[in-house]
Amino acid sequence: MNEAKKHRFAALSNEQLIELLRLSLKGTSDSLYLSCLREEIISRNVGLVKSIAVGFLNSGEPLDDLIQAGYMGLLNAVANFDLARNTRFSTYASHLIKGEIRHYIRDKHSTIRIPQWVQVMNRKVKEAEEAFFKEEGHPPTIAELADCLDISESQLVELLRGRKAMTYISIDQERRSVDPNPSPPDIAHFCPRGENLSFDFRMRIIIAIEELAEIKQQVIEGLFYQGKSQTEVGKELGVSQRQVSRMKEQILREMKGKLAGPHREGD
Amino acid sequence: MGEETGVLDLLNLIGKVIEELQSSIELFEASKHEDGLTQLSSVVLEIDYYLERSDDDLLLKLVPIDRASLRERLKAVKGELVSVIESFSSTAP
Repeated sequence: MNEAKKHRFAALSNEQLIELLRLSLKGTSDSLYLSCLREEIISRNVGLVKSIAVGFLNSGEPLDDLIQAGYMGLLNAVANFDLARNTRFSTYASHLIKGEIRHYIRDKHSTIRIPQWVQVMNRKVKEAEEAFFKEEGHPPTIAELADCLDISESQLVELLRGRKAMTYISIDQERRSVDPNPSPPDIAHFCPRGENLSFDFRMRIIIAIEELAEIKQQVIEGLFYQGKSQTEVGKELGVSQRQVSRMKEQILREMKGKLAGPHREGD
Repeated sequence: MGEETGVLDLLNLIGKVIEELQSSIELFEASKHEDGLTQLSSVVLEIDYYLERSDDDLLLKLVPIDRASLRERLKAVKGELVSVIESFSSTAP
């Protein structure tokens, strides 16, 4: 980084740097200058990211990975911070850094698959947000984002509910009018008592069902197509081959009974 | 098979749990939140109960399945359901 610029940046607060970045994005500043500005904001907040990441060490994830996730939150904070709210940048960034780390841990600790369509749409939403910000210099509202994606606002809201970590940008827009210093919305924001099961909860239960159905499928295939011989199993269990055979027959009968029953499982 | 061995087997567990999860969704959608939460809690307890006794599940000896991985997958499902219960409970006024 150019030393003169570095000194000039050093005298500025986080908030002033971000304002400078916004103005520069709207103007004709060269990419090197913009990258210096970003670098300065990131480097002076490295300590904040690390201190928050350390608080999540009991998750069992490596510190480096937690820090990487935290940087994503920091970058989002830089992109979406609004000076008009009279909030300190570090306060705002802390919420987003924590949110991104929590999201990372939740993803890592779950072997549950996110449906392909949700992943694809999440990526499109993110790309549209970035493109909009690049073009307009401010984050999109729900209406603007829905327009970019060519979907209805209600469909977009459903999608955002499905990925908690993505909600803060657009939902924040709504909340600014009533709360000058909002923290990121939590699930309670979307699912007040008395309303229908939220999209997020429903999806998570459905995905749990899919995961269980997949395990069941593997067990059945293993049982009937790749299983050990009845004699082998009998030896392991200390029972006769005949007893193993009866065991399998019983499993088959139970499965047939379930399939013939009035309520079929969702696989 | 569960009755014969005295231990709930994996296929029975999964069949039962899937039905209960489907029923919990229906309860939530009918705004019977307390019943839905009870149903979810019951699923968590059943998975827990099975995990404690899975070493005794004879069915698992019949199939070439990695038990450690299976346990992790069931724990992940349980963890996700616990998280749904906690999130939903936290919305109580």
